[in-house]
Amino acid sequence: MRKKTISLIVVLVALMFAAVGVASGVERVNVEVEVIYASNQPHPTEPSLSRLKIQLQSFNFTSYTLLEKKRMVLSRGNEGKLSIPGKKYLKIELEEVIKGQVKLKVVVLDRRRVLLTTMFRISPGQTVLVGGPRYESGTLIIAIKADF
Amino acid sequence: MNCKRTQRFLDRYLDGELARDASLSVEEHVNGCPDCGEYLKSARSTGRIIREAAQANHTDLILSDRAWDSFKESVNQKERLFNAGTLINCWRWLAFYPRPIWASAIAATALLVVFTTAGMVSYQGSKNIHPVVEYVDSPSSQVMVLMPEQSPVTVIWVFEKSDAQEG
Repeated sequence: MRKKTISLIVVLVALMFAAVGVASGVERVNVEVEVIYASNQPHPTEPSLSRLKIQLQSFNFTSYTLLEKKRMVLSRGNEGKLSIPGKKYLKIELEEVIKGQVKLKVVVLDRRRVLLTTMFRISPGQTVLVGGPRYESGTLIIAIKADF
Repeated sequence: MNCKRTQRFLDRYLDGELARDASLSVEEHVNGCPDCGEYLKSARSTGRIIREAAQANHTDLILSDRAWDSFKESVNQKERLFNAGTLINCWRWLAFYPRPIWASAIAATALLVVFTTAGMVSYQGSKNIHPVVEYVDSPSSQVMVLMPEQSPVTVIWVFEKSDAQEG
């Protein structure tokens, strides 16, 4: 009887830990980065960017071209890197997962000079646009999306 | 099954109220345990004495019509209470189940599922429309953070020096 009670308690505790783990234990996050060239050239916007059409309406550019798209799997402690046209590059690091959101640290470098350091919380399906770095006759816009 | 547990179930065993598995466990233990065997024998003989006494004096036990109606009403009332709702029925089932530890386990698991589900729902409910920027810094440029109303997006815009100079 006592043995059964102890084994039952062990099973219950294991179940409890499993449930808590399912609720909050996201270890890996899929991050999608798209590098877009925004300009006022007379080219039409690429159909592949139709998903971002509403988001890109916030800007006053007439043409958007997808230059690069990369999916990376981030876990705590490792960082993702991506080269951006114009000798710039981007570093993304997963800081933590809290209440259904992920906290990401993003650094944009221009050669060795830090152009921007930011940290933000993002939910699945949301997008952060980092814009401003100049490229050719326009500007680069980097769309960052997380999924987990 | 040990002696203590067997003796606790013995009355219900004699009255035929135990489930088949539990009855078999009692019989198995009683067959191998002289003390419990003696206890069962004694309980059986006590039961027989009571039954015989009741049969011998059965004329004294005949109830008046009024007392009989009252007794039937009392039984009906208990039945109505018992059928009042599924929850009460479930609780009675759990409370009278031969192994209360399993009843506790089922109740604890149900509570765990309820709390976990509630937690997940509250996570979904507390979502912000826009991603939240906690920190932003640029050593050589000005930075602006925008959260446009028309789209669920957060914009971090870096004004490079040439931009600022151009105005």
